[in-house]
Amino acid sequence: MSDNTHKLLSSLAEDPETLERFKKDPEGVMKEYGVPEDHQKLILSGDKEKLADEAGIDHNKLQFIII
Amino acid sequence: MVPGRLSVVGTGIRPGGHLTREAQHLLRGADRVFTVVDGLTLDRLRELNARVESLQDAYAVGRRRDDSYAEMVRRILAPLDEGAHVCAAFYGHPGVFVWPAHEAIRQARAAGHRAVMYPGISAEDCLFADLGLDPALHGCQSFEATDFLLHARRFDPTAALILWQPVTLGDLRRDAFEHDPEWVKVLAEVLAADYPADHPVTVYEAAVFPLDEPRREQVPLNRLHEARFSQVSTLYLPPAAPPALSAERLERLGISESELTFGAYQLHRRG
Repeated sequence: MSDNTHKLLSSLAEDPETLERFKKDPEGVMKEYGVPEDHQKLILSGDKEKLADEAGIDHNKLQFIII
Repeated sequence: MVPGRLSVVGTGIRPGGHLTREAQHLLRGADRVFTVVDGLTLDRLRELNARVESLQDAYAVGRRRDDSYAEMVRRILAPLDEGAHVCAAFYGHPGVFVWPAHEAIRQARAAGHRAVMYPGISAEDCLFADLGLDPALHGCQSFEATDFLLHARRFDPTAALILWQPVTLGDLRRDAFEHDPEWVKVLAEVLAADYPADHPVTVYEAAVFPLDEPRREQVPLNRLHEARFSQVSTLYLPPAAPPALSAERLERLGISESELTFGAYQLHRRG
């Protein structure tokens, strides 16, 4: 995953205002962060599983602590 | 032996967004960091400290969870004997449904090390926000789903009921991560003794990925066995009815109902 995509995802996780802006204008916010075109397409495609997999947070590939 | 120092922190549910300043400070200053978190959070931790080691590899399909947790504890504690400051970072709240975190604290203290747990944002905290549930309103009971099913619990259907990790229902050997719908049916039958058959049950999952919305899927109790559960699913049952005042307790206190001043939250739950 590119640094810029990573920065965007981190901002979306940490900054609710950027997340709101992203929901209204995803292309604009992705351009602002310099997200590469293939990742922009992936994000816009709504394929969250593939994106989560790329970001390393795919639930299917992670084990969570269950007591 | 120079005593070591163990700090156990939670990273919350949202990668990075729920990381407290306190946790960041401890992570930055630690000699070693051991962690069970998602990939985005792992990257964030690596920005804070280069010596981060993921404990995800302690899990293996078919391996009993208790063996995985024992390995995690061993790895966390090992550097303490050299006097190191170890930070163990678990997703969510490190003290909520995290056996190895509590066990690491217990063993570290028993071995003469300094060990402190610091709170984080748990899935239950996210549930309170996402479902609009205030535990003060009705009271709130929280059980591990399999433990709840197997033991003759006395619980109160006029309070909220949260059942954690339904994905373990039917996992007899504690080495699988899939539930048995037959066990869910029995759980629903047990609950139906205190709730209407079609009582709404919310299958809840906090939003982890920034683009996710929380899962808030409502299923009638008698169809709960049809629901899909993941490792991060939690069940929420709203109260079946408001609580009844105890005439016997009012009498013991020497007061009548008309003398009571009810809080706004108590009036709200009466409808």
